[in-house]
Amino acid sequence: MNALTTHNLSAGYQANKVLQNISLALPQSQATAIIGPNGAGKSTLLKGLMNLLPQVSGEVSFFGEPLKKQYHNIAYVPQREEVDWDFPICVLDVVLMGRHGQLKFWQRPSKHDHQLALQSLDKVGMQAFAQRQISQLSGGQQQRVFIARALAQQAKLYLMDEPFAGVDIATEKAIVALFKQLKSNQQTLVCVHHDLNTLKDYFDWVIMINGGLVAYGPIQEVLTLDNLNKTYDGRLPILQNLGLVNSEGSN
Amino acid sequence: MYEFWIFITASLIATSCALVGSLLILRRMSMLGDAISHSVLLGIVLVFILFGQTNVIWLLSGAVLVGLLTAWLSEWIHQKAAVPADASLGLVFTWLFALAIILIAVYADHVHLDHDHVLFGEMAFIPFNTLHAFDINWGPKAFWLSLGVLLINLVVIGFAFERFKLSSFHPLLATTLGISAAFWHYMLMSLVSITAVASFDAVGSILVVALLVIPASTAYLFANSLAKMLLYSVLFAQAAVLIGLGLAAWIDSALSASMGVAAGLLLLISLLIKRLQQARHTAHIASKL
Repeated sequence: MNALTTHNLSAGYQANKVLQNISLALPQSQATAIIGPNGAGKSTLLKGLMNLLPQVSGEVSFFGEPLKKQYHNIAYVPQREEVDWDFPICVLDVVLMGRHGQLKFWQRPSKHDHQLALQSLDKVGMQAFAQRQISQLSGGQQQRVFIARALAQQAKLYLMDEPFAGVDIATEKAIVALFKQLKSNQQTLVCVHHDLNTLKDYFDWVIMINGGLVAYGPIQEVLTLDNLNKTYDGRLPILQNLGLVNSEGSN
Repeated sequence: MYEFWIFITASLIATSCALVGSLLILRRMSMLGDAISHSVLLGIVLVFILFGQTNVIWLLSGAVLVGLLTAWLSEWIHQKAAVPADASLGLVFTWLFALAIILIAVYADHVHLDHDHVLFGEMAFIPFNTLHAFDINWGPKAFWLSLGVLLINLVVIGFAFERFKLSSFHPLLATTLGISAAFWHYMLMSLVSITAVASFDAVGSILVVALLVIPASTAYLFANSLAKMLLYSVLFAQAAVLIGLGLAAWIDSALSASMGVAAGLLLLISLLIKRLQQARHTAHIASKL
């Protein structure tokens, strides 16, 4: 069964939608990157999948079921800038929020929830910061806390909006190690990604979008010069630096 | 007993305001509190004109409906008419408030709701309007209303504490967990509406905003969790009530205004303390280097 299937998904903030007619199917246990130029609708695609936008049409299913039945299996990690980092709350409480979907509204997180939260923090190397205020964290640490929050949810599919944006090298390495671990546990990852240089190292599949869907599939098959040109409208100054492009272009 | 009733009623109202005010501030929505505290007047007036009711349950229901309408309509106009969010909020609540004033003048001139009373409240009259049942004088109606509203606030916020925390911190995240951020938003707006009604008689629709915003802002300076923010804001609100009553007695001024001034002074002092703390902290770190 596919982790994610969409049929004619269109999404945006206004009636004139940024993202048009995306139909795709992603298998389980793969790490998929969403690439495309600024304004191509990469974040919009993730938000559209989670029905977070005022205008969403088309069909989306997760593990063969609609979103409503699969909330617990999907963890969404927003862009760092979308979070109010001045909110009076400590790291552990943020991570515990990953458990809230499983709690009734009158319930408090249990001991088991606390253990899961601490384990999740440990996986991203942030356990020592559990009682720290989130306002006192660096950018990379903030990102790791939010990923720990997603881990605490114990989901099967992780949707991350630019997890590597503006993070330090230590954090990037920690996240990459975590990706490997998640994949070996048969979990599925879909990330908005910017750095084409690391694309092949971090991911197995790629979704190339520019308003509409240009191509998607295993990186070796679809990351061709032709598709990259279509995705970036031929404006990709760093194409020359990518060894992969030359080799595939000459194929 | 006269002073006691005033003090206890003001204290109950200030506690309710501090609780819902804290949540409003964390959601960056304190002006929505301002708006609702004005527009609920329309709910009270409509319930009176349409159904001839002055019963407290009716008043609260009418207020909640118009409070929710205010929140929903301002958002709707903002989205559909592309009017900036602050402008659409400003136009909705002033219009509803103006409509209420007109309706009072036309249909309900004989009621005790006069304009000054609505805007500024009159705490000194609280003890005179008492509740009589079974031949017993149960004390001022305003006291019972404030107590009831505070209990509702405590029960709702207490039970759904984690939901309010999550949906205030990150509404989008709540949605991705399958929790309706909109539901908890409108739940909070309902609490704001009933709090505004309870505050109406006592402090009026202008100074209720001071009670909603100032103690919560003061608490925001020091709190490191939502629970502490709620606790501190209630404590600051109580201090403002006590100092305000003292101030009013001393210079013979309006009670509600004195409470507002006291709350503001507390905020200023807190800011100074916070600054000193930070300066000392910086010096401490510098001395270690």
